[in-house]
Amino acid sequence: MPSEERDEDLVRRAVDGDRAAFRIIVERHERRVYNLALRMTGREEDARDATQDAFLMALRKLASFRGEAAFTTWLHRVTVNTCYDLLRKRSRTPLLSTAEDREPEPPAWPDHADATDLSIDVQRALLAVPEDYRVVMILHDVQDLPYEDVAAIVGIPVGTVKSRLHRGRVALARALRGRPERERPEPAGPSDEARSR
Amino acid sequence: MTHPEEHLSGYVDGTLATDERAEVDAHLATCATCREEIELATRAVTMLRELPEVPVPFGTTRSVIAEAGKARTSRARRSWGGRTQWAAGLAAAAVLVAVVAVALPRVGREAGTESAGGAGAAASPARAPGMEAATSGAVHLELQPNADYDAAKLERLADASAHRAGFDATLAAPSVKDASAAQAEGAASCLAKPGGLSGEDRLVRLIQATFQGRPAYLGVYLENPGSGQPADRIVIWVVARRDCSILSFSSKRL
Repeated sequence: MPSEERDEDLVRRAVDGDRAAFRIIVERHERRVYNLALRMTGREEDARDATQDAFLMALRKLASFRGEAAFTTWLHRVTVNTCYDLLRKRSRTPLLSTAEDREPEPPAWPDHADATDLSIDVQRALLAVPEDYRVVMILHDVQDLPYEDVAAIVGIPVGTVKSRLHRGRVALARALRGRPERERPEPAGPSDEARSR
Repeated sequence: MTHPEEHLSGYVDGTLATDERAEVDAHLATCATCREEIELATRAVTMLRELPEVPVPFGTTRSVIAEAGKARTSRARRSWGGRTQWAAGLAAAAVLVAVVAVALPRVGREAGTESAGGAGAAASPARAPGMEAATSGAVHLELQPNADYDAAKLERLADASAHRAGFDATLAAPSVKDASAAQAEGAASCLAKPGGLSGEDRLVRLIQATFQGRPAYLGVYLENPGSGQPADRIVIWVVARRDCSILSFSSKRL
């Protein structure tokens, strides 16, 4: 079955001009690529553009894929770079298009039941986190990639991935709670105190 | 106090070795800051993992797959002559003819006639609103010896191309003269190499300038997703004049 073919074999066929092989690659990975772009940019339109650009760049560079890294790692790297380019070019604060007009609501811990509202809150909070932290959280916590793969994708040491992951998580939680991010706050006592704010 | 920051994500993830976890536990016993951060990070992870995976909007990658088909044709053209790929060769030759057909009739016309009607209009399978002037008129090789493009200027060119029938005069120095037919043909062929062109895409502007200091050709294309659908993207390819390698590209949804 073509769909069970290894990525690397599909790449080889695609480089040789097999259009069907490239279509399988796209269909196999588009969901992860799109969701990575959506979480990075926060806009459906931007995510669509980033997805197209990422696959276009991948298509152009396919012949340069040497197989030293897993194809998924390589494709994620292309996607991340595309997202960075897009964010830099547009140089505006990305927002979920569905939430553009909403005023930020700084709730206590969002224990409301509506999962849609919660995911919008989380997405908005993600966008408040610096991009370098955001990308490692999306890759590790959302897309479930191991530290080593995240390091290879972003091009940083594993130790830096771990540090950024922690800082990003804390920043995200503070953004969700409506608190401004701060570096290493003074000891605030037990966690119950934080919850009551 | 030194905080074991590098281990805190692993502590939350449960990936620390036993001795590392014991070290962090000992630290947490005396550090309220890290205790609070562990709690925050744990909550963040829980919420991130609950983020739903969003379906890809229909048609998002259709143009990419169409592009892959063109690239195949382009590769086949380059290998023609060395192998007996007759069918691919003929298709590739047809693409080459199409490229020259796009470029040649438009070379040598007077500058500034982009809004003039032309034979290309009738052949266009797709027409985006507002793009008539650009698609139906002459496409010259514009020589812009004083223009040096970069990513930001490319983005502006794509924006301007997507939003109006003409082009932003502030993007670069104005063209000083038309190029020869041979120059235009060379530029069009050079741009056709990396991605290949299909008969459904339309070259709407051809520029000779520099990109970040490197001599380059810029090709502005109207792309459609195929199957007779209207054009939905402006794509600008930038290739090096020396070897036709890709230097950059930019795209903009119409």
